[in-house]
Amino acid sequence: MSKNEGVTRRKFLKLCGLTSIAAAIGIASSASDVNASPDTYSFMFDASRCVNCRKCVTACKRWNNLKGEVTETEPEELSAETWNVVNEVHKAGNTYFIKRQCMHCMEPACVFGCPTGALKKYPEGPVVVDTERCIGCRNCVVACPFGIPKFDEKVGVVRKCWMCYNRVKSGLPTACVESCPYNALFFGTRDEMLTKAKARKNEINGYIYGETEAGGTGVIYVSSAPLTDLHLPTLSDKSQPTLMVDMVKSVIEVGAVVASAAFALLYFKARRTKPVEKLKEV
Amino acid sequence: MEIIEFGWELEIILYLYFLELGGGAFIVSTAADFSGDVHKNVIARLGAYLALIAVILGIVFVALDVRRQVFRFLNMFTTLTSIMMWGTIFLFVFLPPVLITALTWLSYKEDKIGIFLSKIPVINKIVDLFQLTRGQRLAVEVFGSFMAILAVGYAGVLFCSIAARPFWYTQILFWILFVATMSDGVVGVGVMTALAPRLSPKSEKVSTKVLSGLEKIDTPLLLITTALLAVQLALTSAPTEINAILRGGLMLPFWIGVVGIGIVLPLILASYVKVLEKREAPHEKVYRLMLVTFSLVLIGALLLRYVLIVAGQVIG
Repeated sequence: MSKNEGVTRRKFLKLCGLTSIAAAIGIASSASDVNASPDTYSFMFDASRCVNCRKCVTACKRWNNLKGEVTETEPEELSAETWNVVNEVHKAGNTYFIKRQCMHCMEPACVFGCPTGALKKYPEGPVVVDTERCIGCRNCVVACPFGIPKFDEKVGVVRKCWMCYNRVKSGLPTACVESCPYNALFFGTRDEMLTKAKARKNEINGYIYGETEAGGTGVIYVSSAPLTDLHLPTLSDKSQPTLMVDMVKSVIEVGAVVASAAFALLYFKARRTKPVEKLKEV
Repeated sequence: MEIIEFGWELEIILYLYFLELGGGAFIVSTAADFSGDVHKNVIARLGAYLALIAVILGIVFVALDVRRQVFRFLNMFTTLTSIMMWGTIFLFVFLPPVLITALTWLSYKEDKIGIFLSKIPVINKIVDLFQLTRGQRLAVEVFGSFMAILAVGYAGVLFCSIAARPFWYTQILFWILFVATMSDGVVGVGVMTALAPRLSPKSEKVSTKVLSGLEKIDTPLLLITTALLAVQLALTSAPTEINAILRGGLMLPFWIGVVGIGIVLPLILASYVKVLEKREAPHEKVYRLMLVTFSLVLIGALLLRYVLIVAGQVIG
């Protein structure tokens, strides 16, 4: 082998190594850039006060120009045209009403994984989809632990609750919060909502959800029954992006060990193998 | 019956399958060319063709998946933390070596495809630009193989890093997909090699030894995939999803498709091929049997992706 060829190979290996490292660093870089401060806006939903009047669902549809009528039983599920619903859950002889909407997580998995940057978490707290940038890959749909983003088949983009960002920017509460006649839904800074939720929790001897789950969410739930019994997922306190990074790191670590072992095996095998009938030149 | 909330559907399953088949075939092709063994020349050439066809099919399916917004694909390169963005970069960088390698092999006009294409003047001119020397070709192949590992590795990481899906969120899933990729590459090239006598005007002598060699590589890969799959099903904390696979809606594709067609039957046939070889059975018979064996593994591999991707989206 000539000297020049050696240098080329070295350069080539360097390039390969740098590409892998760049990708690994990119993915494994911490999720800190999507962290939100305690002053971000959040919701507090008090399940013990909700009577399933569905005024919040109607208000959301009206403000955001979403199609579909709201009746006593419909809509039941979130969709590209329904950004919040109230689900009836029966547990141990009791009936609970649970509002479902985007949780506006402190470190959202959807934002972290969105390849186009269409999903953003704004400093005020809302996680917003820019439908002009969205490519419809549905990475956010599978990555959200709450099953919130919904794919709009007609347009080919994802849509979801955006915390009425246009209202929030003008200092107004969200349409759903403003419409709630039973004091089941509140809006304010996350610290205020947490304080309110904790006080209510002590009052009803109940449970809180969203303070630490998934690294903290922008919707704090209070209920007289454990929220994980009421169809909210059991999640660790680590944020979803942190868990994703942990997995990528562990794959890279094990991958490096396996690759080294494979190279060593091939090297020793090559040394022991008899020469084969070589090609002269094709 | 399980409730499945689909985010990723058939197009993504096919995209994953063809991307991994293409990546695996390219790595097998490179290894065969790198060995310098004249008997493995056919593996290298047909592997390069298969890689190109499979990667293009993969891109077609991912484009079909995003449907209306496919022309916004340039938006894909904006989020450094997105695994999908890195995957797109790897795929785009992997594509040129795949194309160059396939064109290089075509330029030698050693088979019916090369000869047929050379009759079309424009294509002949393009193909002739790629008459690389073996050294140049190997350099492209080695770089391509590195990109192939990154591209297929990304696909595995994309799934196993999604913490919201407990059935996917396990490193074992990455290794199942990675080993299955290698197996797909080997059997994909095997199918092409078994068909080679029909592609070559010289009625290319594809020795049964070459095909047996591929089978010898694939059998351990199949066994490793099976072991990893068993570990995934036994240890993953996702009872709803695992129940769907073993006893629920995914029972038929899993037990009949993945286990029966993709693993058990090929292993039985591979053993039978060995018996036939010992008895020095006619080559034609052995070829045909190997073609069936490799084809079954390919079908099983597709169903494996189907089961793994659908199961991850079972929510209750």
